[in-house]
Formats: sequence, C-alpha cells, structure tokens
Amino acid sequence: MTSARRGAWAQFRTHRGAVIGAGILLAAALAVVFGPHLWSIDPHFIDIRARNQGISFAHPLGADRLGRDTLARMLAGGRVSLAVAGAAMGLALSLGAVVGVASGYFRRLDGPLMRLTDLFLALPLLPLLLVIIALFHDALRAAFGPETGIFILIASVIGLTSWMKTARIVRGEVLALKEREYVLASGAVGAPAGRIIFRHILPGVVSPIMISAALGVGDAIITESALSFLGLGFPPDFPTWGRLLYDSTDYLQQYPGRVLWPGLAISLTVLSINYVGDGLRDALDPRARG
Amino acid sequence: MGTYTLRRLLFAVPTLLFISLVIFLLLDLAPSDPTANLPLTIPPEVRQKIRESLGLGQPIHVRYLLWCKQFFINEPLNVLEALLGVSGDSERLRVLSWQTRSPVVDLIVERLPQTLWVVGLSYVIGVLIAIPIGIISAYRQYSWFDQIGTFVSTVGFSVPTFFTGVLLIVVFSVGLGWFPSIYDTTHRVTDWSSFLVQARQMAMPVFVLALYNAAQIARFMRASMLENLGQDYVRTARGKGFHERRILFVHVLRNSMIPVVTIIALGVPQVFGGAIITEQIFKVNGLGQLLIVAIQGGDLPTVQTLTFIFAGLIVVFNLAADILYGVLDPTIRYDQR
Repeated sequence: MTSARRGAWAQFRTHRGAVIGAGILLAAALAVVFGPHLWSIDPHFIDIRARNQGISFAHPLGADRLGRDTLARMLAGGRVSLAVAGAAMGLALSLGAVVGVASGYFRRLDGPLMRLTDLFLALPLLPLLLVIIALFHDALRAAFGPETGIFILIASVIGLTSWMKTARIVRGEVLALKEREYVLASGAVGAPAGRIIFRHILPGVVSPIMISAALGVGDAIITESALSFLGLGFPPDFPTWGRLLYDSTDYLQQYPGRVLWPGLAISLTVLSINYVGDGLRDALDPRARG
Repeated sequence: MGTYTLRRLLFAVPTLLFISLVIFLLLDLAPSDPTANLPLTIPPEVRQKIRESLGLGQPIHVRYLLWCKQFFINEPLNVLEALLGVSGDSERLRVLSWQTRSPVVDLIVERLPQTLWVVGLSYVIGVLIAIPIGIISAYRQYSWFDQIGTFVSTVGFSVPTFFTGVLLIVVFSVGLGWFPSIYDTTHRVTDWSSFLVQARQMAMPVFVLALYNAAQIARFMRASMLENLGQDYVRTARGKGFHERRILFVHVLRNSMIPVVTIIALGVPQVFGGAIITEQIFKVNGLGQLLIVAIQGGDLPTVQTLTFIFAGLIVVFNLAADILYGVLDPTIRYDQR
C-alpha cells in the first residue's frame, strides 16, 4: 500500500457513518452470496399450510400468500437486486469514463460528445425507462429466456441512462490533468495518446470514478426497485427486493408487517451506500475535506 | 445576457425536435402491436384494417411529421381559440389516444390539476422546510441540530418514496385510520368540512414527496452556506462589527442562494417524473398514472405526447436555471467568449 492510499484509508476510517455503512454493505453482500447456501429452503417452494404465517421458528421472517419462505425470498431477491445494480453501475461507469476521457483529451470530440451528454441529461429518464422496458420486454424474453432476458434489459437500460454525471466529472478532471507538466512532458518525448491516457490520465481519474461508482450503485438499486414496484420489472415469480415490496402492498390491509423486510433492505443498503460515498469523497478528494 | 438568452432559446428548438424524434423512433422500433390486446376471434384482415385506421399503414416519416403538425401547430391553435373564445376550424386533426379515442391533450388537461396540486404543493413545502434547516445546520456546524438534520436528510433521500409512502399507509391509514390511503379525485371542495377531507387525503402523498425534496435541497443549502461562511468577506464583515444577523441573512444567505435557486429550478421536472411512483402508491389519477396506463395498454400516441412533455419540462427548466444563474450572479458573464 502506498502512503497516499494509506492516508485515504485513515481518513475514511475517521468517518463513522462510512465505516458503519461499509460494514452493513459487506454483511448484506455476504448474506446474499452465501445466505442461500446456509438457509437452504427453495424460494420457489410452495408450502400451502404455512401460507400467511407470521414469524416462527421454521420461517423466521414469515411466509407469503403461497407459503413461500420470506427469508429465502429476501436472500434470493437481494442477489438479483445487487447483481442488477452492480452490472448497471459497471456499464454506466465504463461508458462515462470512455466518454469523459475522450471528450476531455481529444478536443475535436469534446463538442459532439458533450452535446450528446446534454441531450441524454434532457431525456425524462423514468418515463423512458418504463416505456423501453414495457416495449422491449417480450422480444428479450423470447431471445434469452424470461429471467436472463429481463436481467439484461433492466441492467443495460439503467446503465445506458446513468453515465452522464460520471462523464462530466471525468471530463473536468481530464481537462485539468492534461495540462500538468508530467503529461505534457510525456507528450513531448513522443508517447502516443493511448499510452498517455492509460499511464498518466486514467490513474488520476480513479478517485472521481470510484466516488460516482458508489453513488451510482445506490441510484441503480432504487431505480430497479422502482421499476419492479411499478410492476414493470422482473416477472412475478422471480423475487427481487422491489418485486417483494410490490407484492406485499396488495396485502397491506391484512398483513401490514410484510412490506417491512424488503423496504428495510432497500433503504438500509442505499443509506449505507450513500454514507460510504460520502466517506470516499472525504477520503479521496482532498479539496472536500473540511 | 440578452444575446446569450436568445442563443439558448434558439438552441432549445432543435433540441426539443430531436428529443421528440428520438422518442418517436424508440416507440416505433419497439416490437409492440396495438391490436394485441383485442380478442383473438378478430380475423387478420380486420386486424389489419384496425391498424390502418390507427394510421399505422403510412411510412414512418409521414407519421412523425403528422404528429409534429398535430402537436406543435394544431394543438396550440386550439388553445389559442379557446382562450380567445372564437370557434375556428373544428375539422383540425388532433393527436388521438388509441385507448379512449379522445384527444390526448384533453386527457392531459383532465389529469393535470391532480398532479399539480400534489406535486406542486409538496415541492413548495419541501423548499420551505429545506432552506431554514440548511441555514441553521451550516451556521451551527457539528451541533446536535446539524447532526440530526444531516442524518435525517441522508435518510430522507436514501429511503425510496415507494417505501416511505407504503410505511405511512401502514401506520396512519391501516393502523391509526387518520388518513385515507386512496386519493378520491371526484371530491369537490365546497365548504369547510369538504376542504378538511381534501386536506386529509392530500396529507400523506404531499408529506412523502416533500420529505424527499427537502432532504436533497437541505443538503445543497448546507453545503452552499458552509462554503460562503468560510470566505474572507464574512471575516471582513465581522471585523467591521456588523450584527451577526445581518452578516448571516444579508451577506451569506444571498450569496448561498445562487446555486440553490438553480438547483430548485432544475429539480422541478425531476419531481414530475418522481411523482409517477407516488401517484401509483396513493392511487392519485394524475399524469404519472395516465402514463402507466398508456404504457400498459400500448397506447403509443399518449405515451409519445406525455414523454415529450416531460422532456420539454426538463429543457425549459434547464434553460430557466441557466438564465437565473446569470441574472443572480453578476460575476458570471456568458457573453464574453
């Protein structure tokens, strides 16, 4: 570990919210990855005698209207929700980084790429997401099967509509880095543009990319849950946190407690992510330190 | 400033046209069939006739230009005539909804008041809560008020509205029975008691949206105040012996409001988009609900028009924010280039 990184880590640890958030996130990630192996009830298994059961030893979080175990469904749903968010964020970051570096480094591309970014920022995202998903739902379903098809659709649609902030931040950083002496020197000794970008520019823009990665995952989780909540996400038998919340709202009058678990899971995860993002910003961006 | 505004306005026209084209192409490329929901007993040739009657037989550029003419020329003319009270050309073609066969603009006018009341009121309340919280949080940084305020605002924008809304329904309408969980649009306010009913049914959706908006704006307000409080001019003002209240509310507040005002302007269109979810939770039949129903029914003209209106709002408010920024902050000169 270099001293700069150690300094950032020390700074990160002083942010209490960020440390707690990172702990909760780690726990959530471990739970959804290893949880289904430990709690081995099949989330699709229908035990009709246990329907609408409350909290019990056999079903620690209760069972739904068909007697499916809520804990197992929460774990399986968390896996999908976090995987969608991760995939969408990965796509958004790579797109944002490519657009940002290209428009910051190559002056000729700057105008068109920034106009494109402005145009994407002017699109009404939630309505468009709803439209795209409703319209391309069936085609992708036929091509990749119901679950993979919707996964690809939702992850790529969220990724394709959330790269703009990253692109703008990266462009700003690249514009500043480009004029630094070591980059100019590298250009003066004849290094090709590709090597300058990979050796000198990209390492300099890692911090802003990491910060927007953290905030991007939170947004992606909320967007995916919102889509599922509006009934336009994954199919009904396929649990995600948003879908579980949506399904339980139908039984709000009879079993009001059932909305709590998926809602809490979404909220806690996003809250932790936002705190981690704050901590990362304090740690990695020396100008923001108060 | 004038030439800058003019240039931006002129640039907004092609942007809007381009966005409308993008939305149109997206809808057209999508593999969806408006007759798919009709009964299977309809023979294919009749189905084809229905499609043609919806205008689907024509080539794509003809349909796009027709939509443009109907939306950008015919509808404004209708509005103008309605305002002036003259009855003009009643044969003028309008954008028709495939589901209801009535003009889309009439549907939107029907739904707009509900959305405006709930969304608009929640945004105003959100701003009114956020600004004082931001000011006090920044002025007493790291005090207990600031700690609680910052925590609440982080929670406020991390917890999605579809969970706060549902939670409120669980507590206040299922548990305590204070507020109705379904918004009754047919309710008319005629006297004091019916006004109370209206206020009660608006309370929860307005609260949910107001909390979410206030959380975001309060964070910006606090950051902006903090940035200005550390500036040299504040120390100078203190050194001159100005009263603390005057420094805070005249010097610091006025400078801190500049970015916040633009953030507030930029947030307006987002709020309309976010209201889609809140309207769905509380069953408010506003614009968001119209969009959802139109999407589910494959009613492309309604979807096209509504999505375009949302896009138009974003472009208009971005423009307004940029111009406001220039007006409020005289150190920004867009013209010298």
